[in-house]
Amino acid sequence: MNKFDKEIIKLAKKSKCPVSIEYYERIDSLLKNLKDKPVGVTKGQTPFSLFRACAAVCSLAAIIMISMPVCAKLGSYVKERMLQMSNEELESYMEASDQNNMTAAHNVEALTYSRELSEEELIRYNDLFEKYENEGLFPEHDLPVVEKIQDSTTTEYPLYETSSYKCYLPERTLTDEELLQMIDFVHKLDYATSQTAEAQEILNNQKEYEANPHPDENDLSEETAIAAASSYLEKILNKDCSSMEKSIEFWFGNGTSGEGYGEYLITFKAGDAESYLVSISRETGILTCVTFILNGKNYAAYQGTSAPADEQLFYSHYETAKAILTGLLDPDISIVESICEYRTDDSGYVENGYIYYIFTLSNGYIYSIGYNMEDDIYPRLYLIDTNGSYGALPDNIILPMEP
Amino acid sequence: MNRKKQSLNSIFIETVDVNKTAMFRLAYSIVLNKEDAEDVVSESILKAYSHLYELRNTKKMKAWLFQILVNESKTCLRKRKRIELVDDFSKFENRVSESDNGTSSDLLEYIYQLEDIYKEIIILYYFEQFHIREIAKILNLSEGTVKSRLFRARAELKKFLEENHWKG
Repeated sequence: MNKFDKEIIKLAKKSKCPVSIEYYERIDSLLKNLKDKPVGVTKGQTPFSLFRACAAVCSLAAIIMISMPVCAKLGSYVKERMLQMSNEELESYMEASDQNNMTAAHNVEALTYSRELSEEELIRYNDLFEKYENEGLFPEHDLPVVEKIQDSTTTEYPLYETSSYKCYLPERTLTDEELLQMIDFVHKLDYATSQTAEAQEILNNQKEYEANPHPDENDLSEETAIAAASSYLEKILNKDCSSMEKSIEFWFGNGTSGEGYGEYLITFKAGDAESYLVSISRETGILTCVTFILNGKNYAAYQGTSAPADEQLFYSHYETAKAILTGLLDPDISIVESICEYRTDDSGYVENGYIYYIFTLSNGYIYSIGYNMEDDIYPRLYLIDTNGSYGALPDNIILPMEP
Repeated sequence: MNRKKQSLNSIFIETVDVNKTAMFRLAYSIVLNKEDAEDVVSESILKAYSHLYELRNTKKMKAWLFQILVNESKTCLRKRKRIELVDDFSKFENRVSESDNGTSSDLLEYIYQLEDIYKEIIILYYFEQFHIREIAKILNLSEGTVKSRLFRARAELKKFLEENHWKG
């Protein structure tokens, strides 16, 4: 910044923008209304679920599992279909994806549903998803898109509302064609997002790295990362991964706020219905995420059944969550603060049956461990901050825990 | 440890409150119409609020908010499909702020008349003091493009100020 720049800044500071009193009154009134609303709720939207909030903050697993295969590894059928999109179509998907809002979660979060898919629908969805990618099974028509759901004359079939980034589903069981339309939409949305300048820059960096990987000498090697991931899984889940199929990828994009410049994603696969994902910062070796698919349930995305809130139960499970985390920590790092956080629905039940234990460590790192009440397991472990900064979500219930 | 106890909600409301004038200034620089600028700011606030949990880092809230604002302003322009004449500031009723320095007021009016690609960058760089990298994100441009546009915008500003007897 030179002398001229400094002078302009001085002038800019002195400059008064002519704004009407009505404008200030309007904004003040708007802010006053927002103060009384739960975050994420405007214009009649349903509140965000706790998982959605957590996934948005630390959606690394979701990015890995859904975004990367589409963006970075398009199969030939899908690639051909994506390339067939006209510029106009591509542009409309870019708009629908809200790709400029500086979040990394929209690849998954863009398609939230007005209701959960039934178990039967979910099974068909997964089956069709695979056929879409591997066999080129595509829908006959596109998923209908409306700006506002009120613009549509019917709610008899799935509709995507661009103003809320939400897919409205009819109450009846969805047909294969409708599920395929949704799968197609997700792929196109993700592809369109990947074509933005920012995404291209990340992907180019990724390609550049893959063409000429030259990590710093202190960076973790792939072998060390796999060994560390195996060790973590053994400590957390008591799983012996030695006989599992292993794969490792490096994701240049920074998945977790503030933690290094890229992560190794290590997958251990025990079968179609069972696989584990561990991500580790290449730069620091820090564990950033553990999640898994078990009995066909992808716990990174699976929302459980709401369950009665039982504080005693939460206190008792806290000890297990704490033990999981302390088992991973260096001896010189301790837990300095911990809470149990959850959200209740209108019936007072724990929403989606998930509670989260949030641990602040002496080094400023904050980890979240999600407990699934339905299946009595801890399928989500995320590093959510490295600077000791965690704002509890408004309207969530917080139980302080003994660190 | 400096742990933030403030909720996301209150951080958001405070960020908007502190920046409401700046938001209007930026929106106005793009839509060039008082009513539209006010609508755009309101819409942007609501949109940002409904996506608040998608923001990964509250330290980036201002930049994120301004990015949404730029996008909403451009959407408004597309919807309008025509750029109306710049409002005359003197027509604003109930003005609450008057420049105490003719040059600075003229400066803002002059900026509003520059090409879009320059005025957005000038406002974000000089008025809001965002870094080049943040501006690149807000405007969805490469840092190189921002730098080159800033270079040209700076030359335009210099010319204007010299014509108005600014002594650097």
